[in-house]
Amino acid sequence: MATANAWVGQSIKRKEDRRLLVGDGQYLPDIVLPRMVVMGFVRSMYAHAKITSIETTQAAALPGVRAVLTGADVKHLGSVLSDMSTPNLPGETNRPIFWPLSIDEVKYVGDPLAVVVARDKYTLEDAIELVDVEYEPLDIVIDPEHALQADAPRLYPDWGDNVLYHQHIPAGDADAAFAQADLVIKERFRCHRTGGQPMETRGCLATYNPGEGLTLWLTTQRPHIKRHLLAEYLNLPHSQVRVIMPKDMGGAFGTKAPLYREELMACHLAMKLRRPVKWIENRQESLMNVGQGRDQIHELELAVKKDGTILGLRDRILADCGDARTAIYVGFAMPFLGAMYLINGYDIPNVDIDLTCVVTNKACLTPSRAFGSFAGRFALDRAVEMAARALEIDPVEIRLKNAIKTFPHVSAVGVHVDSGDFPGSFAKACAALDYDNFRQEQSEAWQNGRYLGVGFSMGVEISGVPSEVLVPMERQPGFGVATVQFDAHGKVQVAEGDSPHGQGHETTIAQVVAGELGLSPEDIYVTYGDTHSGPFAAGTIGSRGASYTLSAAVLAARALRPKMANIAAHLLHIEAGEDNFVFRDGYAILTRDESQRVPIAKIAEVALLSPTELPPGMEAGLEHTSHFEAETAGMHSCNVHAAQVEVSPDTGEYKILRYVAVDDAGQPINPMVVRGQIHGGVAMGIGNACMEEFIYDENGQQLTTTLLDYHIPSSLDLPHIETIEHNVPSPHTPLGSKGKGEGTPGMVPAAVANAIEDALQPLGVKITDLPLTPERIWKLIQAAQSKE
Amino acid sequence: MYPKAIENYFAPTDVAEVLTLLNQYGEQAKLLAGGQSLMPLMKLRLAEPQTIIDLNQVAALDDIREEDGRLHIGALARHSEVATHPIILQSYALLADAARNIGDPQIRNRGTIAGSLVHADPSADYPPAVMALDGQLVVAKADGSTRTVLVDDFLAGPLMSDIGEDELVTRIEIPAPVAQSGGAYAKHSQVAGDFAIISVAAQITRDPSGVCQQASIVVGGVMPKPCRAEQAASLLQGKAIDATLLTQAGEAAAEEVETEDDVRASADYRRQLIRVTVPEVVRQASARAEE
Repeated sequence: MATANAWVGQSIKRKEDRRLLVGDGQYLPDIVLPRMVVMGFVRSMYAHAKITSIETTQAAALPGVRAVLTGADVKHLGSVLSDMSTPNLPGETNRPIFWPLSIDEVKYVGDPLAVVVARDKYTLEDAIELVDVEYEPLDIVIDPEHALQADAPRLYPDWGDNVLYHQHIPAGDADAAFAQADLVIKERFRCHRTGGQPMETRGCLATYNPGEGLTLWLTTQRPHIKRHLLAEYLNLPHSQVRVIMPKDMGGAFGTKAPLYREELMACHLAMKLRRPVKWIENRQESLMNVGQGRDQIHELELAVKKDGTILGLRDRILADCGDARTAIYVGFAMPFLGAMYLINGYDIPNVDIDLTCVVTNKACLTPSRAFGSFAGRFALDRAVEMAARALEIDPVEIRLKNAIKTFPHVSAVGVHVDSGDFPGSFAKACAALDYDNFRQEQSEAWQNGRYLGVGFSMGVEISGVPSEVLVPMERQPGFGVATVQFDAHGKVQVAEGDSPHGQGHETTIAQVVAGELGLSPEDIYVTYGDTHSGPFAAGTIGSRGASYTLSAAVLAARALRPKMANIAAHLLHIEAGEDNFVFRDGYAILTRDESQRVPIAKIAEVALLSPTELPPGMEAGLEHTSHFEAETAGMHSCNVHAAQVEVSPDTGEYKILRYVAVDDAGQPINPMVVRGQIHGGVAMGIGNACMEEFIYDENGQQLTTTLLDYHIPSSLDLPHIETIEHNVPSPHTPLGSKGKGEGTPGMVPAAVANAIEDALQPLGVKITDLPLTPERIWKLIQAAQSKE
Repeated sequence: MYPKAIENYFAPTDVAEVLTLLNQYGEQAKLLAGGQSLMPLMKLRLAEPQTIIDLNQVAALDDIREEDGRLHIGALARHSEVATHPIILQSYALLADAARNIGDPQIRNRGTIAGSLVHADPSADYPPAVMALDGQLVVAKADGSTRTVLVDDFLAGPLMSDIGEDELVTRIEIPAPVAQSGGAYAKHSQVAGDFAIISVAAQITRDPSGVCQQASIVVGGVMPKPCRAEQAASLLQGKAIDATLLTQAGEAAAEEVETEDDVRASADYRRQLIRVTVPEVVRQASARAEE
């Protein structure tokens, strides 16, 4: 008999936290192998240059140096990108040819052009300094609009231009919509380069012997995907490649999803030197190479009727993808998905989106939490705000008028949205802010020279990506998978194929499996990260945990119950099936006579330790693997965020007085874990929207390669984040749960920008560009005042 | 991010021993106090000293006391000690303000006042604060001589200070403010604990009727080193501090202090922050003078 899952909805403490808090975590740097050597890179000092010579003799002669390789030494490995490691999208695609080390030419500051292997990190860095590279600088292209010009320098001379990807996405009849519009909002929005910067940088440890092949410990979000790409690139049988994500990883935020050139280099060197080769990226390299996301220009037009109804949208999107030399995403999968999700929570029937992704002499864009959505969400939610102001309609009212109203919903461009409730979410946000009385408070404040404002944003965030979308996009499955396996002592191992690193799977999966099997979360242990002991899965990306992977664990646990019931009945010497038992408090309990019960530990013992007691003919063991695929082309979480700010007109400095996040977790498994995800997502969103920026100067030198210059917020820079649940269970997951990891940062920039602009209404500023630094706001105020 | 090998490491226990070592290894040696500037520079290989003289075992270099009408702060006093010391909170509040604004708790627990002044970052918190208090540095040499130098002269330019290879700063001295004096310090930064875009330190002395007797205003976050806003200060002198006067002082400071563009802010924005911040800090300093 199915019972409600007793552990769902309980904010139990995370199983992960003890080891993390007392320093018992096991991270990549903790893994040390005999005969291990360390690897480091010589990286380009120029944004674009011919390499005229590389002198390695002195470095190679330094005592303790084991190898120095340049691009010429790895050319035989072939170009990194294959069909399998390049997005397979409907638009026109150019594919760069490149190697783990650059050959003859470098294309951004930080481009790896030689590699050194040494006995220790001190020797390594001494040797890196001794590699003498001579360059002949080439013309550079840093600005994406410059990249489009006919006479712009080319990154890849074999292409006709600098366009990496182009796609036209029309739906409905945009021209007709604009012809009928009472108002057209036309604006250019710019989102800067910013993204994720995990506390733990990238790293790996590769070891090889001809018998067992290659083992790679890797800071990665997707060990199985890396494994099959590595096998392909290194020309090894799949059976000879094992990838292991260490037990703990200090965050990823998307940056550890691609396959990188450095990882390929470590594997090659381990095979060549027959020594374990370790690489730990330093913070400067990290800021030079990864976490650079967003970076888009939107020329967006909105066709609006007098009553606020949005009839249509046009958007010319230009994405600056940097040098496009990482595998899997190649810099353009993010802007592609961002374009598909542009209209997001709005029901806009007529759209004409044109996406152009260009290459420039900057680091390749890498995925960053909220994926490609951050810039477009800012642009559209800003444009809607501008329409509301022009038509003198309340910003909440115009959003409710145009928000998706009935579910399931298929957007004009084909995004399936399963469930949500925007009116309910807005009602909670407005109640929390006392929005009805706010306008009065605001006008009184204006009279007293104080500038208060409120801004809203709304969003549809992915809750996992189904195979139907992921197979064509990334040539990967979207299913969730888990193996639920009793051990002989009645404890349960759940092996998943993803690689959680802060999402709390060890706790939430334990909760749901415990609930399904009548056990306690303490009885459940979750294992992950090793391609040789967990089932094949796409990895920890795109809010797959609570949607897909956890659902697979639920189904696998449920699948064990008939066998458990049969064993229990046999031990009780009665005739009974699954429907006659409940599983509760560690017992299989006969429903018609609750005194008839068998400890679940006994059932496991019989299944594994003493199979002689099994019913005649029954196979030993008690385990099941389930692959969960939702019967829909998309599951989503629908959310409303609101910020209340006070702005100083003298300095442009502002304080976020309130930040209210109304979020839809479907059915929260562990509300505390959900809140943690939202807190982290909002913090990242505020950092990205307000403080952080990767800055390149006119020579392509990156000026933000230390955390002194790339400003990640600390707790002192963040407001209290008020989280409010407004859950609409997904009809497509067994428990109604939804993923909450990915989208949250995308909610922030519009909410804060709308609030700042609202506060400054008497001064008439218009915000179109990020980041929202005080100086930018001050300059807008100055410009508005000089116009008067 | 791994420093070049060093050849010698010494951990002397008294000042004389430090000075002897400096005499011997001077030009190739670096003094390690809190290490909050030196260690990052070494890890970035922007500093590659052959010899490290670690000061952390040197006795009696970290005490804070008042003596002969002056505040003595030992060279090794940590920011966290300066931020919380009762004498400093009582009579030299702007110094505590500055110390509290530096970096994060880990940095404040290690970093030292002399280290910060010798490093002479124009956007650091201590230099304008110590200038506003007319602080001096006591510098010792191996031959047993000492010299005293006004902090204005000690700070020579960006990351440049008036310290010889064979010299050691042993303490900072600050003249005790007369009655009815008060000071304040504030900074604008992009994130908490970051270097200043603009910082302002002010020290005010009033008479019983509220007239400003003495004013000292210093602006940090400008090149090549923190700058005294002398015209702003002289505007205040001999007048009762009111809102109009404060605005004028802000305008004057914004006018007289030269600002520059860099990755953190433009020259114009810096000027605006000076215009806005000087009145706020002077107001707070004046309020403390009244207490």
